[in-house]
Amino acid sequence: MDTSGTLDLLLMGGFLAIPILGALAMLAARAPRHVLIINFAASLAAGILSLGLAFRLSGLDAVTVADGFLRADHFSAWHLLLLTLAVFSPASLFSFSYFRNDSHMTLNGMRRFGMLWQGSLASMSLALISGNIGIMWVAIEASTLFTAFLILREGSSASLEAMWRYIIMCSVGVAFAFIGTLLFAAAAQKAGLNGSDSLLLEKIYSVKDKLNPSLAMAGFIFVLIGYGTKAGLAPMHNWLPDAHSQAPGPVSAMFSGFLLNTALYCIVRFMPIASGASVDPGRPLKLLMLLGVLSIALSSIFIFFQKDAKRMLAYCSVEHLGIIAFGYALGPVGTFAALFHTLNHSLAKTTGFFTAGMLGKKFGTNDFSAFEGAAKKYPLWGGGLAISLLALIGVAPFSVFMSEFLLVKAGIDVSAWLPTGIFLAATCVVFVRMLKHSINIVWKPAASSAMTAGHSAEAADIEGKTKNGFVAIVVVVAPLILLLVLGLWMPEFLLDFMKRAGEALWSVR
Amino acid sequence: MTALNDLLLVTILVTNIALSGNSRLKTCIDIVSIQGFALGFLPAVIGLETGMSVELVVIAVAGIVLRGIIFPHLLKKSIQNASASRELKPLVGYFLSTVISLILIALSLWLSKRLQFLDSSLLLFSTVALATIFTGTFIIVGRRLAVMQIVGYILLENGIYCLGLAFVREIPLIVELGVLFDAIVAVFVMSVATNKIHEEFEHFDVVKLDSLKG
Repeated sequence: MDTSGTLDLLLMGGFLAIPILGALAMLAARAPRHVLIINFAASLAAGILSLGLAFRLSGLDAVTVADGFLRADHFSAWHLLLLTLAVFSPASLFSFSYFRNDSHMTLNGMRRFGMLWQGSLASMSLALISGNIGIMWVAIEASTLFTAFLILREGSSASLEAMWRYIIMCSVGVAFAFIGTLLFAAAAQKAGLNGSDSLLLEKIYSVKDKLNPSLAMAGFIFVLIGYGTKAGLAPMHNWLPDAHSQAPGPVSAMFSGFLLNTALYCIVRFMPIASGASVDPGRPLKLLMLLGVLSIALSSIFIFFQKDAKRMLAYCSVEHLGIIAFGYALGPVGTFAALFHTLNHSLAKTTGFFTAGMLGKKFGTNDFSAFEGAAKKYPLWGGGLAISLLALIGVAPFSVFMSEFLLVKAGIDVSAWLPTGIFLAATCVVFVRMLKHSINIVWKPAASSAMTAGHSAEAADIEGKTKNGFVAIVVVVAPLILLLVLGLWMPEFLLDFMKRAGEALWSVR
Repeated sequence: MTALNDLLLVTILVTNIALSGNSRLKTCIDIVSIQGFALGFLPAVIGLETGMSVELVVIAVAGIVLRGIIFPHLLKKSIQNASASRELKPLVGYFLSTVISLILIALSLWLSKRLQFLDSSLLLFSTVALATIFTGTFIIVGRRLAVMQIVGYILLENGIYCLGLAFVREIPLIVELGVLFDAIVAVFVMSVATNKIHEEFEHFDVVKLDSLKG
């Protein structure tokens, strides 16, 4: 018992220790490339650790250490796996391609990038493994602060503007989430928990029937609005397209692929508690449903009129986060599909941002009109973008289609007709629009206007067309193949794991 | 000791009103400092009433140093090389702002009265907390200068801290310190960003930062 306790502590502590050690090791690096190697190694090590956690959980409901301050169940482990293996590892691998021949990236610039990157990894992991809602808040706020400077690109005033908007909106939003956290703690203390227990997720869950209903409901509204700002749910999504479009490629991928999901994770964690405390258990779910459907509907309008590729992908993230929220809001029925969709979104969106970011760098603009025919000039990046757009809109064999299909089925099962209808209509709009962009990238003759391309394209052309490197091919092709395989065949262990993750969300043990 | 407690709370309330109606940036920062000191001493005063503990002392000292000294210092640094010493055209005028801040206090009082779970002895406490939160949010929305948005954020943080003292007792020390640490880094990051905005655009009027749309 004692040895397994120590082992658990090491396991959970590792999620913080690895990024910190990685960041320290970067100080010893002698070349920008070394920093990137350490960056990738640390991200991958965190990935292996989360696999370890998944195995450790096979016979357990949850791993709890440090008096419940750190707690991981299947639901958190699933998110940790996605965070490390589906987003951070590929994105840090992609930075090798993205920052190659980048004159702005000096050794110090690269160190700053790497250390902030590891800081983001540490803070997001902490949010996922914290069993204490206070610590969870601290971690989310820390992730805002770590990621803020990652948006900044040397000499770009637009990125500065995006960063300011991000930091003000998210800090204020997340501050509101803290009010919600306090209200839950106050309710728990009224229900008989003592000071330190009143912040523990597990303990609050155990007294959820005794919580003051109005206090818990008010708390949930604050949490929903607060973390919802960070998750990019409409109507609090204004910062999102700016930050995503201005940040460097790997950073946009990380923002979209997981930063948003981490915040949504926090909202969802409060949902069973709020639902248990409420007189009508469906009320908290309806609120989340409202924001989810609003995000889907609003973003589809913005996607329709969008000309900038990275901004469109950003609005697409608002849409997909809305879809995931819609799934959770359907209750236990939709949870499996929501978890599956989280995986699909992370895989497809990171690839989308990799390829769009690379093309944007090569053409010097993110405008779709410049990307026309890009697949001929840069088969890997152009083709990759076209295929990831297809995956994102849910073309049949890709797994996004499967998870969206499951969501519609769940929606019909609980007869949520109106939300399901809006969801279907909006995804159709997005489907038509993004299909056209995808076709243009592959089939349309390349844009003749040399003025959009500029000299940066010519310079990039020399190295771009000749060799893409093994790393670039892996980073773009592997996630797309995975999406295709998962759409056709789901391995048994993955299915089981997601099912258990869904159960762990709704009955905290 | 409740007299001392009330004095501190009223000080916080007065600083809120003063902040809403003041245009000079330096004065605003001084007012933030006064509010920070008042807020920092609150846990110590509570400790005198209910029994002092090591945790309360640590929190009080950390709060005083942070809110009373470090925050104002960071703010002063970020307006040092700025050309503007006052905000000339706020989105909401100064007279109107003062009136609004009074209305916000009335609203907070009404809201606190309606909270049934609250002991009546905590009425002033929660009124002050809510009023500070509302005023902070109002300043963030109603002012154009980046520095004033940071001031608004600090007010918001102060208000939430105050709310925590009113509603929730015995929050674990590590959580309190984590929250404080986040607050200081947030203010630091914002002031660095303000400096960068000033270098890049030669102003820090956030209303003029409007190139990103759609």
